[in-house]
Amino acid sequence: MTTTMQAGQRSGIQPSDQGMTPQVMLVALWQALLGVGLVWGAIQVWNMPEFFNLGDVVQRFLAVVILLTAIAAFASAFMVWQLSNNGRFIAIIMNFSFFALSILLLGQVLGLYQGLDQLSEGLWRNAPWLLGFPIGYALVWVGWRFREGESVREWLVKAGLGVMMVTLVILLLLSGLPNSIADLFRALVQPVPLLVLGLLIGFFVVGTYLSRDGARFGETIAQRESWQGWLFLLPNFVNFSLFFAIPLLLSLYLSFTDYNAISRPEWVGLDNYIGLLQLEFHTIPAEQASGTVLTQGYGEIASIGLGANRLVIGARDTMFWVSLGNTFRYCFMLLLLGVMPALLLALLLNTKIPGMKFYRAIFFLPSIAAVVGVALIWQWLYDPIIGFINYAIRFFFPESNINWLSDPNVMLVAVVIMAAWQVVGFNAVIFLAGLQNIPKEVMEASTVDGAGPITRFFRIMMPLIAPTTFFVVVTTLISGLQAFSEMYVLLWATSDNARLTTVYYLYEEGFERFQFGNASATAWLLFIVIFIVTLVQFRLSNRSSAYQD
Amino acid sequence: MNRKLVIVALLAVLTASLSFALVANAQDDVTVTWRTRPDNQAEIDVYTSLSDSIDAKLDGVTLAYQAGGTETAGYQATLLTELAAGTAPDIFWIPGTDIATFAGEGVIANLSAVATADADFDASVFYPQQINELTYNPETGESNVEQALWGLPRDASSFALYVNLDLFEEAGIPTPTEQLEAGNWNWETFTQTVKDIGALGDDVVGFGLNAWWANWWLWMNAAGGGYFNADKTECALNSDGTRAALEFLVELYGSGETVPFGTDSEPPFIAGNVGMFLNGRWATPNTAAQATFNWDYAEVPAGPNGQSNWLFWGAYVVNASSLEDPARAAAVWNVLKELTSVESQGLVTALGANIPSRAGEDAIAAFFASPVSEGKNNAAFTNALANYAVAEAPLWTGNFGEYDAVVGAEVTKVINGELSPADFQANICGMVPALGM
Amino acid sequence: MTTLAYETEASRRALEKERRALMTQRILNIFVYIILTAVAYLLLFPFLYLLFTSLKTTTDVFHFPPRLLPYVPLTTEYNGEQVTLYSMEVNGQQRNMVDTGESVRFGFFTTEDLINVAEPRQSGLITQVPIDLATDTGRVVNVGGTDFPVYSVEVNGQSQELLLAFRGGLSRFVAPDDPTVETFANARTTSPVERVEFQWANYQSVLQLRNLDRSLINTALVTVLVTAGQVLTSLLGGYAFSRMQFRGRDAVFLVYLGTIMIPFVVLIIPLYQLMQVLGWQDHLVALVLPWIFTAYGTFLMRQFFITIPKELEEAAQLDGLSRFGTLFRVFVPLSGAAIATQAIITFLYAWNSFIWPLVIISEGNTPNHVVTLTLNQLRNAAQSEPNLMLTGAAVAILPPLILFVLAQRYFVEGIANTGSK
Repeated sequence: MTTTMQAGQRSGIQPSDQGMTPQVMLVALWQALLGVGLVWGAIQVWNMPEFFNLGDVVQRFLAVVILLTAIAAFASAFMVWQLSNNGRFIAIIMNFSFFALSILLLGQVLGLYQGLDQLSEGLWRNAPWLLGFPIGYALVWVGWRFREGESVREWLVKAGLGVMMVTLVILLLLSGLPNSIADLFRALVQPVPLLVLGLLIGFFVVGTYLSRDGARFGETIAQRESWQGWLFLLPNFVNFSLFFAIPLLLSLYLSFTDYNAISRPEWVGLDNYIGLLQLEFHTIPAEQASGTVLTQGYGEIASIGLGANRLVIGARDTMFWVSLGNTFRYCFMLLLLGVMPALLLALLLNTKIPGMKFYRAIFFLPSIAAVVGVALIWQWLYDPIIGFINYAIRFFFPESNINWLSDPNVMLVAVVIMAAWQVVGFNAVIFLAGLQNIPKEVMEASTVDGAGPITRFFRIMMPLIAPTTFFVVVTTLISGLQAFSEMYVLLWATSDNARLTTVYYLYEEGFERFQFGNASATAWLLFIVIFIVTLVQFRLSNRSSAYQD
Repeated sequence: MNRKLVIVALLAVLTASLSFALVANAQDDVTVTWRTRPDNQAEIDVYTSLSDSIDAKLDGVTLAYQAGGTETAGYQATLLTELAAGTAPDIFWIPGTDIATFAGEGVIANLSAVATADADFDASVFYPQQINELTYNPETGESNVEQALWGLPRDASSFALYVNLDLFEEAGIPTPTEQLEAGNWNWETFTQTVKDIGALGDDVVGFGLNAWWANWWLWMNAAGGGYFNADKTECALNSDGTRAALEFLVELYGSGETVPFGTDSEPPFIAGNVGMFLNGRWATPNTAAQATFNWDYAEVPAGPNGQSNWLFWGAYVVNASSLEDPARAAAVWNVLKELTSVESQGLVTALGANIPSRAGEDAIAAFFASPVSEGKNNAAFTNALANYAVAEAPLWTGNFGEYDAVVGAEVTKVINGELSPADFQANICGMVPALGM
Repeated sequence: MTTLAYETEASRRALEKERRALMTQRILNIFVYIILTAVAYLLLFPFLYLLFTSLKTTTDVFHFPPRLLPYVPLTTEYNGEQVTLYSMEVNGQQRNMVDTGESVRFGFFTTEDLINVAEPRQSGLITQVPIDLATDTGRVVNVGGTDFPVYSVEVNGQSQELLLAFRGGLSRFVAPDDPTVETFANARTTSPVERVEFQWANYQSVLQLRNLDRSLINTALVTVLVTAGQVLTSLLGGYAFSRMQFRGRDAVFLVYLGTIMIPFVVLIIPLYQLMQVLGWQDHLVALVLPWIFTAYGTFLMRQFFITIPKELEEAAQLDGLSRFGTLFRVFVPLSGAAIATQAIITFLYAWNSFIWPLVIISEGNTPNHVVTLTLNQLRNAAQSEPNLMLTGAAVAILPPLILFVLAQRYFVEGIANTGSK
């Protein structure tokens, strides 16, 4: 609102702010040089004989992107010359983006990032000193217990912070910081790092100069907010582009290639997707073996009885289909065991009895532990002989002996129970918050209306917490569809395909059989499944919450 | 005047130090990097000391040992990406199954020329099963050193039964070795033994294995079946021998006197609850360190087709790019020979997890004399290696990983009772990826 | 008078009603407490198991039937060695005995009607004597299709002909103080004398020998950096999205929202390649820099900033604060809870992440392992030492647990709030 109001206003213009100055010319020249440099870079990339084993397509694509940036640089040079604010806008964003990238690049050419390992090693060698942090924190914590304004509080907080600072300094010194600084300095005095440093300073100076000289370009407040907004977003956006957008595009590209990590990716079009999804249908006499009709390399994934005949469904990639089936089964069971009991627990917790917070905390506890650690615990709880679960079951059924982690019919259930244990308290807490958000009056009014508890639950509570239910179901489903660590740690000893989820299949395909192209295609298929599931849920939840209006 | 002098002096010092640096650089040793997949810190220590002693022995070569990961998948993934990026070590160990893949991609060197030029080198000191595979030329289909040499074998292992002697004592039945000596160690007596041990208590079972390919393939071979035909160009899983082995395993696991299929059998064995545990030599260090009962090795029982076993091995192979420079190539070849020498193998096998890949008396004697072998029936391994073990082969005509992924899943279904051996026999060869060049 | 009586009557009834309601409420509450406590116990049990098993010896973990507390057998000196004491009945009295290690082959004898043909070991027995002391008569008796040899055995001083049900080895036990007192028993099924003892050394062992100390520090460093980075970029990004108008804002925001749905596995392989290109593979930086960006965190922060009144911001700007100043002087102090929530979510995510470290840090590169990787390696290497495996798990779970205890409010309420938004 405010911004639109101010949009037409101009900031106060001084005569000295007008007209061309040598600085502006220099900036325009800088932009033009930048363009030249980028063109040179694009040519270099285009002509590289090997491009990190990623293939021509990626190489060309990158070259074109650099070339487009070069064009933007030339355009901005021209527009800055014309004192156009749009040109200035492009130049500011470009300089600060390049500034951010140069910082990253400088770290790279200096080997700063690998230095993180040394830092960690230094901390490890001087681990006893790390105790300074908890001690300092404890002092601060104790200080906070005192009332505001008391001198003890001030003193303790200061002492605590002091202890932490001193610890940090000592740790850095002991970890060889002086040496590292010396190394860093030595690494810096090389042509490439110096060049990067120079560019970095250049980008910063030009960007800062341009951002301060808005008046000359007739900048409005809205226009100022525009580049400021981008600058705020910049750290976020640079990371997003480098580590999300680029890999995402690369993944899409790889999914259309045959790629085994050593040789270059080879464009195969939709072959990976077809290979994963291709099915065959045959109707054969019930007693006939499916191998007689299926094409070489196809396996039976399902068989439907049709009287004396049966319909055999064969798949080229049996394991993909099996893994997909397992994933759905897993998600379904997880919803049953991880969401419904959570709602019941939340209803119990919602009775507003004393001590509720204590129980809530305990229920929440399993969700904070690492899946890997949790799976190690459950592996032994599930042990057929010495595990507590079978021990408990034998109390009621002395003859039973369930091989939780090796019987293909129960192994997935075993994983679901563990996952439900982890997630049920978490979901209960979210449900509880939803229940507590229901206005008291609504529930009281319904009690006066004579609605029984069950009617109240289904007619009033459920629609009111529909958004919460949607959130819980969707997050549980999405995490379920991506399940991997649970199976990887719990079911490692078995060779049965019942252990495979889609991500597990993807992991084995990519990192054990090195079919990176196929694995990428699997990932994208999984994305499509998640997308559809979320969409369907969204539709359903919209419809159900429509009732309440 | 003075200033000029200083400048001249400085220049002189600079030139001197520069030329010294250049000279020192020229005299620098060839640094050869090598890597294995160790199982634990003790092995890392032994390999490091091995590296140091070879370093001291060979002039002009500096050795740098890199410990790889302990898990197969991660180890190979790292190697493959490093090979692609050009940062892989000069010499590295890979499992026998992967030789074909690595050779097919052209990332490991064919050492045939170097080996034939070296009069001191004799390939016949290694087990013939291994050398046969290591000298296979996929283009001609022949095996000899004149055509190919993809590396030298690091070690060898066959499968043996780890036997809990206390349980046999308690059951009052003859041990597998006693039965073998009586000429009575076959599938029937084996099944009976499993039942007798299992009868000792609810928490005791007769037999256990870990569910991966060798553990069922072994039985298939003993019944005359297997994964492939002799030259590995066709699927042989539909043979009656394979089916007989599967039927045997189904019955064995159906008895309920085994560690459940697909559960790691090592913990219950070490806890003293398993009579016989099928595994390779690599299970020895753990067992020796932790078992609190009397135990020994025994040979695997003979099947309908006689005794059979697997020869597991891995080889040190050479990075293809390391042969480009002749000086480096010579250094790498010398290091490779040292890594597989009698002394080196003695050092490594003393840890217990490995058996020398050299079939000669000297290597075997050193192996038998090592402390961890003392008092044990080590011949259970070496007999199998020398007499009836077939080499765990690379698959030159297809992708072993993909082939085995299909077979493993189906075999598991059979043993878990989800699929009948007959249906397995009828369908399996249509499901596996096609073989052939 | 009557009105008063009526009133008292009414109020009494009301009181009665109230009291009854209170009673019902109390009974109901007790019921709820019982259920909640039962559920709490069930949910906590794996943690109890973790704690106690991490303090056991390896042998004790495999004890059957399972038990929670850690026990160690008592030992005594016998023939110059420390040996385990077993408690067993000898000549009608309970004594502590030691296993001599000598094994004697025994025959287990019974009569025809006591024998269990299917499970001879389950037969009722008349006597058990060393097989050498029994004489084979050479005859056999067929019971239910199985032949059992007939032996002549001495029972209570009298010779008797009995069937041999089965043979088996028994160990000779003697009393350590009086070696003439001997008995024969199965060492495996005899229970040793035990007492509760906690193996605290397990913790030292996993920390120092299994590389857990190093990986803890790596994880802490990575987690702190990722959390700080994510909070910072989310603050800046959330502020820009919520409070600033700029070209392309809504388009970028939509793209961000879309990315929340993209599963991480889509990125694994290209990100792996990218790390390879940058030379970050196997380095801790690969666990930090790619994770500084978070669409979800940015989104959460934006949602929170939207609720802050505009007037505050305008007042700040009138006071001459820059955009930056506004964010850090006005918005940040107001969003303590939101920042804490995001920091906690990120902390848990970074601390517990497994698949990405598994892919990018190779197995052999132990100095750069994070705790989940070390646990995975423990799982591989220490299968037969579950106590050490679980000690590792306990150490890995402890830091998030401490954080939970310290900042329980933010955990529970922060996560509850994200769900209801």
